[in-house]
Amino acid sequence: MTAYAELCVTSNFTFLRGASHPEELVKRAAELGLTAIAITDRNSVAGVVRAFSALKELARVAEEAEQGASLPRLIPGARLVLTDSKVEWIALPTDLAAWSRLTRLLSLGKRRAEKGSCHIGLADLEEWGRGMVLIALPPDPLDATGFERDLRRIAARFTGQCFLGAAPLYDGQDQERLDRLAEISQATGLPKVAVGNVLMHRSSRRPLADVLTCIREGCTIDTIGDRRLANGEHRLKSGDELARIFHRYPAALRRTVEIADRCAFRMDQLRYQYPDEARDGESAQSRLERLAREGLHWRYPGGPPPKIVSRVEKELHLIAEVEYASYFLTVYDIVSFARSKGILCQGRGSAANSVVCYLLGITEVPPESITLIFERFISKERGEPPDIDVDFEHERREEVIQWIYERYTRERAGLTAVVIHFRSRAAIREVGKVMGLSQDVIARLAGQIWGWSSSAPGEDRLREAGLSPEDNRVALAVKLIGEIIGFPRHLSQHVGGFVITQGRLDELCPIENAAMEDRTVIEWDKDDIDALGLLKVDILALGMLTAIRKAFGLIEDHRQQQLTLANIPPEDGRVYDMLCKADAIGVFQVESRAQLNFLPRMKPRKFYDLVCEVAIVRPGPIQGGMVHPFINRRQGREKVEDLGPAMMEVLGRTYGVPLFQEQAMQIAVVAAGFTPAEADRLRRSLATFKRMGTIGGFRDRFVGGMLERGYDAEFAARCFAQIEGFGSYGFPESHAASFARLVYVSAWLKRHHQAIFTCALLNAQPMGFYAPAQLVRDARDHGVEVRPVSVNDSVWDCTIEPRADGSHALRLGFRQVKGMREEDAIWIKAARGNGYPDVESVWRRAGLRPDALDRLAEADGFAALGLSRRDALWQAKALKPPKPLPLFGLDGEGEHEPLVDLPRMTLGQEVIEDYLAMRLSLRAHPLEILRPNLPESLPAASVLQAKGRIQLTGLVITRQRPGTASGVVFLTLEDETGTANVVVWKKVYEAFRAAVVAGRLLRVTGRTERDGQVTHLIAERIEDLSARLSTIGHQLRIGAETERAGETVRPTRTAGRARHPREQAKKLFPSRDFH
Amino acid sequence: MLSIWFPRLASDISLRARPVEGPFALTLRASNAENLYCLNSTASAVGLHPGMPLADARAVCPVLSTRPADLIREGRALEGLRRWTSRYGPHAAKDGTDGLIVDVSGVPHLFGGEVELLADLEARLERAGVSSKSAIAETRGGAWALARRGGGVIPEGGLLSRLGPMPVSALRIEAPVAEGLTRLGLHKIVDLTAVPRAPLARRFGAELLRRLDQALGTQAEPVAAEADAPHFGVRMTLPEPIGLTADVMGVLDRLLVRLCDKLASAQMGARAVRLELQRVDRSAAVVDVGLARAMRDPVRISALFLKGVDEVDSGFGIDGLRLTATVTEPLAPEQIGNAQARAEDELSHLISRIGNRLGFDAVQRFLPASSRIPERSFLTVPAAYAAPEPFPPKRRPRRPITLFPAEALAQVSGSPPARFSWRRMAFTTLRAHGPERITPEWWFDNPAWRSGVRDYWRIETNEGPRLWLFRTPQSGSRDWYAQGVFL
Amino acid sequence: MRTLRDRLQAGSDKPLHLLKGRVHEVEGRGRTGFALYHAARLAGPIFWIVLAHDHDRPMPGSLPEGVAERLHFIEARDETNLLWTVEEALRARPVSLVISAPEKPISLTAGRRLQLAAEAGGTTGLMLIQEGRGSNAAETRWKCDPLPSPLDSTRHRWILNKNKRGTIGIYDVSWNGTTVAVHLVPQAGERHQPEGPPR
Repeated sequence: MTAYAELCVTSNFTFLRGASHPEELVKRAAELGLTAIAITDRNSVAGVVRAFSALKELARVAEEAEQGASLPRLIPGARLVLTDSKVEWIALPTDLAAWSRLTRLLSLGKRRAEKGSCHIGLADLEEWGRGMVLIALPPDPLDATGFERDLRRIAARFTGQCFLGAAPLYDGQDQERLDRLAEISQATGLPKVAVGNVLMHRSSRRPLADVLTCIREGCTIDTIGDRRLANGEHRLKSGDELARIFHRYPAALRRTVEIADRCAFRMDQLRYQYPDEARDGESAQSRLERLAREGLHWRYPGGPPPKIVSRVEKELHLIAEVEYASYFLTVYDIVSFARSKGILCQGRGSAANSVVCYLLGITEVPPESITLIFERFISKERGEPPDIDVDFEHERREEVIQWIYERYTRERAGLTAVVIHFRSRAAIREVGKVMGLSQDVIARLAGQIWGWSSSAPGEDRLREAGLSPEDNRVALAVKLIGEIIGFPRHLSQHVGGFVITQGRLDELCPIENAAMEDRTVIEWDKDDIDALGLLKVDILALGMLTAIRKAFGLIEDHRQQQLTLANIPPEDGRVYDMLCKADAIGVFQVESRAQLNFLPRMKPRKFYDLVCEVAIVRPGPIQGGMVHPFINRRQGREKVEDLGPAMMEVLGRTYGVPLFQEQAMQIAVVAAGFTPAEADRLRRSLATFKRMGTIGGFRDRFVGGMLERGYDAEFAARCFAQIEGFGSYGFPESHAASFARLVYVSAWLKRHHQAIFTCALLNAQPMGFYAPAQLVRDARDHGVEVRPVSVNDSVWDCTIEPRADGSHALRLGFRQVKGMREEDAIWIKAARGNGYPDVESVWRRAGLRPDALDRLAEADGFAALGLSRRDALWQAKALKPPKPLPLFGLDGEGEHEPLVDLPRMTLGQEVIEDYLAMRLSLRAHPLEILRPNLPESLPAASVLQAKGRIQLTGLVITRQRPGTASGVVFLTLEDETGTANVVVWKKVYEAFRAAVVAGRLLRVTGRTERDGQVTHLIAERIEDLSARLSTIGHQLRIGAETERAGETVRPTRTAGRARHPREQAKKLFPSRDFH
Repeated sequence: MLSIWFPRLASDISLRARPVEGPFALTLRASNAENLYCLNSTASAVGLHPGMPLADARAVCPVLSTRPADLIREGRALEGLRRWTSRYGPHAAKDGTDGLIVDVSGVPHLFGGEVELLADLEARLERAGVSSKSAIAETRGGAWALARRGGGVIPEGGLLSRLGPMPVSALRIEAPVAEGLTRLGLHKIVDLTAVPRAPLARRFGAELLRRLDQALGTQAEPVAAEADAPHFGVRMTLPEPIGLTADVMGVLDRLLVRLCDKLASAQMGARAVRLELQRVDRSAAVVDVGLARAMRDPVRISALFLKGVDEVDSGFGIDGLRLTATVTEPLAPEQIGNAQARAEDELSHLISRIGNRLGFDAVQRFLPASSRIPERSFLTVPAAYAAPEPFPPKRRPRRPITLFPAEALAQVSGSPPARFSWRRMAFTTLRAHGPERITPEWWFDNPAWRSGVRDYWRIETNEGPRLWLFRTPQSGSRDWYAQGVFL
Repeated sequence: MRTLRDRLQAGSDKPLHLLKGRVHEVEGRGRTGFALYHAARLAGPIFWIVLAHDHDRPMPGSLPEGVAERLHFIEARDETNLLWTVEEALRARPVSLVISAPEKPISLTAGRRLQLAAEAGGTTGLMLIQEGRGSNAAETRWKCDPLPSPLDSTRHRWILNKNKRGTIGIYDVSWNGTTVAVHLVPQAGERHQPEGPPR
């Protein structure tokens, strides 16, 4: 076999160009027995860590199989595409110093250019190219002139480092080309070296490569023409195959191996130094110890329990040993900064396992409330860094981020990247476009995808979108969609993961500009950083923290009570009473449909119950089938099986059911015989294993191990399924505990300060699961007086107004009015004085544009002035330019208009107008007005008590069609009394398709089905009553009439103004549809 | 005034050409989405409506059949209807894209009254398969509103009482204005009449008042009749039947002069001319002639008819001729002395002559196309219907000058072949260049390329010819094929 | 390039030109190339008329620069239609070159009709004929073949066999098929040694 090292490989981290994952390339290189493989993406090293991890995994598998198979070496590098030369250069660093020069060169080029591109010139290469093997890739065809000058220029600067790359093209002229390259090599003195110019690991990726070309070039497959790949020869090839092509130039082949030998740099040589957080001559460790001691006094005013003291000693000892004190201090400093600015924050994730973090004020979960496994956070054996994630208020996180940049400088701090992969939706959209599917079919297909699905559409979905799966084009599109899913699409910034270094960060990894102003990002993502052992601090944003901070502020203003996350009264029975009744709209995490259903079954009575609640309604435990056993055992309907003392130690507190990530890991250790290190690697590397296809080996070992130890096969399989699920979605216990804190705090606020809580939620929008209409309704259900938007009382935000009885009323702010701008609101407030007497004065004093006045009038904002909505609108309409008011005088002089008597509005009309302006109404629910015409329908509130077949009518609030539920649709209907859950089975859906898909107001006939305290209505018959909505207000009656007359509204002439009643209803009463 | 509204015009005419059972809709592509444009009553009945995205419509009604809308054809159909309605009044005009307005002053008594006139009109339209609603009122605005809301007749003096309860949108005003009015509670036309005019105009503009006045007859709005499009046809009836080609050609030439004069005065040229020959026994023969470009030269056109006329069986004799320019295009007056134009003219005439004998499809032109598949790297199109486009200069990879469907080689030895025979000639290889590997276009099922990847070689033979040979390694076959000859 | 060059002006390919207003014939395996040379040389519309069942087609993308866009390619059902079309095209003044590939020999009468038409239109006609199926009416008859050469793939031997009003001759040319430039090269026997090392 001919020895060969492939030195020119473009992975799919050269976005929309490379057609194979780095893992696939490395694996294929191993199969082909290559000596080495270089990953050389265009002006990027984003894919090399993936390749590095893949190779490590291959080595592990080989070791396990005890095969002495020799694996290819990995050469990290980049393909430099210059702005001022036709020659491209493969740059392969020979040592660590050269690697640093390469990343600095790339950083330089990237910081100069806008996001995603890189501007490097020949001069830059001359400045930074020392220590790299540089392989020139001349332009094709070779008859272009002038490039030889560039070759000589670089070769003269870096003697002995430069080579001339020769890549076969299979275009019938390879031999002539190789001859010509030999001449150029002679003339310029650059030795010729064979390269494959690889784009894919196998030629079967050719169609995908063409699709990528189309996406990149913005064409379709039918117009790609000769931009497509003529053949699949840009694939990895064996040494023998290349030897056939290079039979006249064997030295070019031999040279590849020589170059590979010269490139001694390996990714694991990257030495990373964390910033030293010593301060004023105090070493980091002693500073940390001092702060921890101070924390003991602060957190435990009455003296710390001895258990905690010894625990702190242990932790500090371990931190000293692994030298992570600085890392804790960094986070401490960030958190302290946020505190000093009044920005609410709280640690999440595994950091809550650390008492030191609690003492430093990073986390808020009292260590005595959960099982602390410090080893989960830091372990000596694992040698992997801890991971502290801190949540900040979403509105003010940017302040924290900019402070970090300022403190550590942009050379030393950077956000980690997130590789944005093709998921189903994007894949369908982009591949569909390339394959010539029409836009509406694509939209329909993509619209069916539920959440972040990662699979190609099935046959049913295709048929529903009006496509025939037998059609060749469709079948190809589906195959390609499946193939492209998981491909990186572009780099984005991580939600807040910072990498900070003592030395220059750009000597480790290229830094580039993010799409957001003032952000800089490194090229590697979280997994890459993990694999290389880099430390990361997560600065995350959480909407609920904003809401809580705003609520605290309001409480301080109106109740003179100073609340913090830490001093909320714990374990308040009334709060749990409320949660048990599933009264949780607006409460963090547990407000979703699934959680609301779960609460009455879970019946939380203490903090730890909330921890379980947060952890269980997650894809991990659901996939693992853990939910039913857990709830049955908690309710005592099923006995907790004794799994032996070792397992009960792990699972005892959760009734023998693994809920948390660390429990699954411990099972691997206790029950399947993994070492702790192996178990943890299993969790961390799950993604790699899946891509490399080595997950099966782990499964066999895990299940085998459990069987050997006498566990039953089904339980073992469930546990493993859960580990797989946890890989992407699971919560560790400490994280669940941190979130449970917020659940408790927000529930406490809701229970004791409903008005303030709702006000804070409205002011922190957009966030959470519910629209303002539902939040307001919930507040009113709890007896809160909600006052309308008023030009003389409202400001931009919603506010709290005192009531005579000492309770609070909620005043809606201008932010609820559709189309209002914050700037206008500020002017209205500023110029208000003692109040506005009329519409005109708002226009004159606040300088509002007439259309803003229209908005206000439509929202009934002038009611306080004694003006009805129509009168106000009539006045506002008169203020329209181009004839401004001054003509008519400012002080009552000039022409007086004759009085106009506009018709009064009915309640129904007012409600419709409210919805038009604000998407909510304080007057009445539309159903209340329709109720007299719905004699058969039960109010939603009475469904709970109902038996047998009933009828229910309501607005559609949500429509869910989980991809996993095989065609079942879940609807939530709302009427003036409450909400009801409707389940539509596939058959019923088929029969009443139109109503289910497009209806806004539905009448459902069906049976009630009770599951514990949760009642569903199983639909048997569904009627679309959307047209009835048009009878509420006069406005819509026009639509109804034209429909009766059979008028056809032509889309071309009424562009964008669909007047059909259902279209109207769709706009007014939007539903949240999750497919 | 008579207003006629065709609520389903587009689908009616489409269905008239090719009827379809069940729900049917025409679709229109607007900004990358396909929406329903016009539907038949069955489709409306199942809950579909115009403007709805096609995909939604399919989800609601999977059996819906659709065709793309043809706006030009719709316009033409409306024009045809307009000409036809002149039977009800001399002044008829199009009103939007789906309605007509006819001035029927003094006409109704001919039909026995207004109601009878409408009945006659609607019955005739129904027989023609076009659904319609029509109304007669004193004003155009009144008739328009009523036609779109059920139709009928508004007796003299009844405008306000009939229009008053109608929504303001019946006033032919823009949707935002109508919406603004209804928001103020001014839903009906009668509501408007109660509001002082100046404040109303200040808020909604003078157009609103104009429309209101036009509907209620306080402001006149005449119908401007549209001129009929010129018709390019001439005819001649002969006192004695004729039968000889020369005689027919003689008459034809006289007709052609008249036709071309007509064309010249309208600055039009003919792209197709039809000659109808009426035999004594009332049967007819037709000769059609196509022209490579618009022209109105009687001599040239006459020459093109010669062959066709010669082939006509004159039977007992021909006593009538009718000549029509069936397809016309604008054509500016000739520029005398422009050699370039004259040459082009002559060339077009040559193409017309050849086209009329061999068929216009036989006279071809090549246009560049982009594909790596050799036979798809250009397009072959009728020369009369496509302007030439320059081929980009491209010399790589090398391609033969002659291309033909793959022909299997015989007696091949060696790979690439050292010896082979092709078209019953033996060849030995002098030099071989290759391979050039070309894969089929994976998205396009090309029967010729089903055998998969081809490795092409350029073989220079000792016998002279330089051939383009290939084999198909994927098919497992060891056969070699020739597909082209190099220069 | 001595003997031949002496007779010719340097770089001139004049002796290869076809007389305008006349119909010429070419046979041999290189006849299409010869026709393309004239197509490239003559400005103006080109009509190329073949029989519909003849599968050999020019490949537009690789014709000499500017030829493909000037080309009208006509498929005639049969020999009669083919000749009729050729005659019509020859008679049209704007047409510069009419190329045709008849299958049967052209009768003397037909040949004369074509000559008359070419004369009337001032058009050059070139019939690509099977060997030995020429017409006596032809102005010139050429035999063209590619010339195999181990060094050069652009060699052709164009032999002028018949010439009604001039001399006959043998020309070895080198033409790369892209532009009008054709180089006359010395014939095989007279070739001087190439400068590069022999392989």
